Amino acid sequence: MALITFREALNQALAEEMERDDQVFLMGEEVGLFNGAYKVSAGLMERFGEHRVIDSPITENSFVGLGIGAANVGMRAVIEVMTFNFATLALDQMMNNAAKLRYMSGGQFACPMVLRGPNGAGGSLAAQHSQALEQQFVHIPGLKVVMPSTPADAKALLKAAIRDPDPVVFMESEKLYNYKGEVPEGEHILPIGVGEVKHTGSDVTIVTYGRMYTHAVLPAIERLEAEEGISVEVVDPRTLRPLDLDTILKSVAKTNRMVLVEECWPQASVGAWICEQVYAKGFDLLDSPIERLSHLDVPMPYARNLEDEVIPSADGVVEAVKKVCYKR
Amino acid sequence: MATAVTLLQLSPTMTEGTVVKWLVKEGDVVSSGTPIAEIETDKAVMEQESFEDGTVLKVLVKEGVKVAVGSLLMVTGEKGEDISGLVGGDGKAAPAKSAAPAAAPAASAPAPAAAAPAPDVVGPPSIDRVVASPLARKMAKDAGLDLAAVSGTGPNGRVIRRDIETVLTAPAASKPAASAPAATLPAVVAEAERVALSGMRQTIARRLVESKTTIPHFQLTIDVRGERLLDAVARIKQSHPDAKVTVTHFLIKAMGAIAMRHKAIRTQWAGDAVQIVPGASISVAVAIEEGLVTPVIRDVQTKGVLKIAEELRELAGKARERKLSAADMSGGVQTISNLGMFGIHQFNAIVNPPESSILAVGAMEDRPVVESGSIVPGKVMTITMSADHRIIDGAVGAAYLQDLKKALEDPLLMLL
Repeated sequence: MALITFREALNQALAEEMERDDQVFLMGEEVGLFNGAYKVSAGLMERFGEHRVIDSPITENSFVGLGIGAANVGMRAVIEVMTFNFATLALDQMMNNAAKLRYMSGGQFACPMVLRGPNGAGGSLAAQHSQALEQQFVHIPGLKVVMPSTPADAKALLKAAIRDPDPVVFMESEKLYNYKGEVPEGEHILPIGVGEVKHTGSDVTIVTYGRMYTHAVLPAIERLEAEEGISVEVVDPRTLRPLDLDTILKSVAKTNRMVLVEECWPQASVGAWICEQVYAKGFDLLDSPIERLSHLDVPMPYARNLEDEVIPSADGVVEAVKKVCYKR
Repeated sequence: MATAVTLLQLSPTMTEGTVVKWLVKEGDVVSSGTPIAEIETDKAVMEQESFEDGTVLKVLVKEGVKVAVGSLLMVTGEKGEDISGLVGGDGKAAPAKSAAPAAAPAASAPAPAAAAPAPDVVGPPSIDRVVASPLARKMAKDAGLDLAAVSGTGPNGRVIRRDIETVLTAPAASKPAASAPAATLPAVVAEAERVALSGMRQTIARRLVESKTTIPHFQLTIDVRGERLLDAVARIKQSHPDAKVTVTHFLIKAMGAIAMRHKAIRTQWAGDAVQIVPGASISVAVAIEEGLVTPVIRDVQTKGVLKIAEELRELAGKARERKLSAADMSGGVQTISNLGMFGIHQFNAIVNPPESSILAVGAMEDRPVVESGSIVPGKVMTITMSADHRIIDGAVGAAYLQDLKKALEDPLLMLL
């Protein structure tokens, strides 16, 4: 095991896959000469050359479309968006082309491409640059959506995404790039669509994904176990589409209580869908209504103190857990 | 001024009622005393009357719907009156009567365009049933527990996992009774016809379970010679053929007379005390199609058998028409249940709370009896008293039955 950052884990995954398969290429704004806006692609242009690490103009709809076209003819495109806020410009390419080509061509075309970059708030980046947009992609049949929470999962799942025969939206976090974690040495790959019990407990299941696990849930677990005597189980689905509902339901069957923590707005969110599925398929398992923690339903404020109020926090997780355990 | 008309408590044990039939509709004019609806309570169908004069502005409960006592049934007032203050979103009456005019300003205030209410401002609908978490419901079903008997400690009294666990781990005596074993029937009967319980059936079930699980029953059985009793019945039938007097009427008469001499029979358990009822009103178990009811013949000690026969006939008729009021069925000190006409030899009945005891009467049979050392044919019936042992001790109950036997074997003694 090596203790490395989320950023380094992604960099390793890219380098290993580009080394393994010369059809893999990386394209995006500043990914080459500048080593990436968040340095995820550091050293890759130097190592693999400017034909495989390509700096694009500021034209998301075009270079995402270019990646889709390349994938249609057999290449493995990894398209980096500087943040997912800018991927909205390429939604047409993702929804109408990437997601639909296999289906509408009767299987004649495949689209083995990855659209990746940071999603969610980065800290005082203001309303336009702090958006959590996983729900936009999860909504579309034909896309897979992966949102890892640890360096080990990030590396293993990015490798899986690159090898996947279908378009995968791979969502990272600016707040996670410097987060360190143990990553297995050597080849390490995880299946897409399989969640993990990140922490074992018996009183409540917290379902969370992405950086809410590291930044809100982990600090809350310590307090809940030490101060409240509540034993917490954490399930991270890791992939949001297809969703590993089995792992969630198995955990809820054990704890009978659930809190969902997500870094996005509450209406029609991924968490809302997960909660609905648990209510529908696990109705008799529940001893209390599910608590769901999402952003406050406002545009993200620029002021740091207000931003902290909008995003779910460890305090909020503690309160939600106490509520479903009838300890409040 | 608009007035909220709520479901009245029409009997002492009534907690909810079903609107069987509306007798008024929106726009009708009602005055104090006008029957507004037929309500099925836990024991009978009764009419609720209006206390107000006015026009029915709004009817809020559909026929066939069961609501809790105090729930808003309808609103009366003057035609065209604003009733928004009384008809809340949850269908419950607004707290204060003055709410009606006070609500008016809401309409005149300009609505702020962007003020769509946040979802969490909307209150939950009112709940007139057992509130339990899905898990608690499943656990109760699996364990054959009656959820209604479990007290919930969650929000709104919600029964949650820990409440079921508390019951399941409690000592056997304090457990609420298991509900009907239907929950654990094997799958073979899955195609059996399911018939929803009527309000009456639910009440019978609840009260019997309550009685059998909270009252320490014991039984005393005695045989009664019936020759003189049958003779008395026959003579009265002859002199008063229209009265259609039967053994049952004499039994009731005897129970009333003997209960006056045995205070324990007229004693009722009241938790931290007992209360002694001065008169001897006797409940009579009457089987009707929907179940069993127990109308009461008041102060039997003051009545003759003709009067008892007349009253019982009247009450039984009301019972069959489901017209018994709660008052018709309360105030007894003891119940008689006679299954003799079915040829039943002997049975044990369940005490009808808050009464002290119940007599289960078997058939008057031809039996060999020993008289002066020889076996001769005799008329005999077997009576079994089930009694609340908290009130009646064995010897006390036996002394009562001995007196009752004497009175029945020599009906003249009832006059003492």
